Amino acid sequence: MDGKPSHGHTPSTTGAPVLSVRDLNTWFHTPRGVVRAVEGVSFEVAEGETLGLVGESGSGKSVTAMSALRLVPRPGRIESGSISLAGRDVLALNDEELRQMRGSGAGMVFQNPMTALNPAFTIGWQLSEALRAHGGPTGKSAHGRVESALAGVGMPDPARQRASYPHQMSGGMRQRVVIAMGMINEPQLLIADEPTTALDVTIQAQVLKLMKRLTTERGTALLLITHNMGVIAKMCDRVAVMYAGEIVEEAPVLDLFAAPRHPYTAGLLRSIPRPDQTRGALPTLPGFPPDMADPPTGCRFAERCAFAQDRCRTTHPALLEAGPGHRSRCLLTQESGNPVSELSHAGGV
Amino acid sequence: MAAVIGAESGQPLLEVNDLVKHFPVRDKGAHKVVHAVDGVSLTLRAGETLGVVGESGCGKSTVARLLVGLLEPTSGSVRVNGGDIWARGAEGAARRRSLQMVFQNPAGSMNPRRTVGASIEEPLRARGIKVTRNRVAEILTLCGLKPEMAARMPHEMSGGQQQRACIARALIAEPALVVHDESVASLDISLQAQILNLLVDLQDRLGVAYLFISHDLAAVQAISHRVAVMYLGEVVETASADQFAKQLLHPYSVALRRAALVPDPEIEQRRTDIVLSGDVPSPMDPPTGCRFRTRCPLAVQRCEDEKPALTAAGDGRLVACHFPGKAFPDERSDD
Repeated sequence: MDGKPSHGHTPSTTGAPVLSVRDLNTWFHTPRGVVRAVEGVSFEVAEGETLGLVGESGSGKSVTAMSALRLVPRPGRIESGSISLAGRDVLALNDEELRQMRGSGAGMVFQNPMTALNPAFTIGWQLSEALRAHGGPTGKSAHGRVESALAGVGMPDPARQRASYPHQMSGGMRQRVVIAMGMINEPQLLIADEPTTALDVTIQAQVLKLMKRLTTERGTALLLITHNMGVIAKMCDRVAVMYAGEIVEEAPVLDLFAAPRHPYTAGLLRSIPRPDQTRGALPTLPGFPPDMADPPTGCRFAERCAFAQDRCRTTHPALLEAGPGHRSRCLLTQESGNPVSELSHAGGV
Repeated sequence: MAAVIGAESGQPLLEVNDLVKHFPVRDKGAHKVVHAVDGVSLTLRAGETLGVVGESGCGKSTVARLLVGLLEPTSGSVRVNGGDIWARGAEGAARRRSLQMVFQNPAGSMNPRRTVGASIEEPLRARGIKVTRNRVAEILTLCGLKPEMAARMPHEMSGGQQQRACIARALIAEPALVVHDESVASLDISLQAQILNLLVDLQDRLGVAYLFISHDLAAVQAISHRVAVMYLGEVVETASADQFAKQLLHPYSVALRRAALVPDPEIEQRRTDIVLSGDVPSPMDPPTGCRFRTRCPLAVQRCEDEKPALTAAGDGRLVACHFPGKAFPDERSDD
């Protein structure tokens, strides 16, 4: 806001975690067998902090986020683990407590604002519904809160816009409404799953800036799920990288990008075309992720890894400290204590 | 009158001249016109890639459909090797067939009830050419798939494999030009890099030309020789990819580049943004004068009064702006 560099990697608050996920296992029971979409995932998001959960399709990042609010669709099931949100044990809540938790404990913003909004009602009605559902003001007395929520997300002329239907708005404006709805009950945590993926880049810039401003002003913790490393770089304090259902690396954002300690992260970062890029071969990660109904016994990335050794294919690595505040699920970087750039190739690749 | 992009030596493969596509619509009972494409001219040489960047509603997908003959233009022409693709009879049809397209969603662009091999053969079979199994195996291998994949159904393949199959289908009839409409947008980062490399490699081997349409400036630069930026139905700037990587002249191109996030927190968390305010105006009612002026940080009265023409800016670049290359005022950052 003030135009000064915001060093997001030094969280200003060191409060208790708003969200704490321990050893989460969420599996899908399909005719093909059990798909271990999320396996042994642990992480925390502190008050006022933005944690990025990054990964490619099928890595388990969205299922992890849905698990945090017990929104996993069938045939998925949370098999084990613990989830604590705003001091409550999410897995022990009854239906009514859970309903209260969603919205007032944690707000949500999803990728497609059109599906998050009801096309048959005005946005003003939908925002006051969100208030009413959590014991807030109803009817005319809600108008003030609704209008200030709309003004807060940069909606021009909120008193008039209250009467608009979702289809009368642009995609960027709709996503602002969804953010207003996610924040209207002042949750401690906002979960945003690919909030700008469906938007154009110039609109994405507006929406990200808005989310950054709102969460900073209100001290809201943000769990940001995305596949876009640029969004991560812009928004996050810390990052957890997911691959094949597991967190493979977790670090403060500057550390992660400057000195990745898992070969998957390093490969992913290298394969992104840069703006000063000109025509020519991009470095790539060969192959594709394993079948989660039948994951490999050793490191799940070994098959695509340029550094893999025999033991990587037999030993499943744990997520361990590999530098200050930096965890990695790679035997080689754990052992050497060095980033991926210092590893020597296994030969060939 | 219309400036032509990339007009240098030799007969161009593709010449697009003052292409216009208007869609009549009814808006609250009133007859209106969507100005999807308004006076786009470009040329493409054999074996060359022209990247087209722009945001939703800029007309880039309509250009794609006009170029391959899926839409007929309101006015203007599309010529392949000097001949109009809408010429009557067999000649026009043959020209349209020499143009192929790869779409954004590979799963939706293959018949889910036919094998991948049958879909790949179709462009040849449709014109009565018998396709040998060898030919299919050959094109699959070229696109980085195993020949056995021909027997699979589309849903039995991953997204990356499906897109490779769609590329194989576009190439089997040896087209002169393949138009890619956001063909890597729905793929994961690691797959996207694989497919971009594949496209460059295939072009080097086969000499096919590409028109590569995307909202992603970096992806466009990774594959293109030349780049054109579109805004609200018009080309606002074109340059070689090298020039593009170095310097942009149109304020919209600059805004597009600066809105694109780079995977580097040192840069991203330090920089003060220029964030374009507002949305793209409705193509039913485009602004007078310069169409970008309603969002442009440099706009002055002249931009409203006088439409800037696409004019030469040295080194073969073209730009449609009264103040090309002018620095932005130090912007206050509010959203």
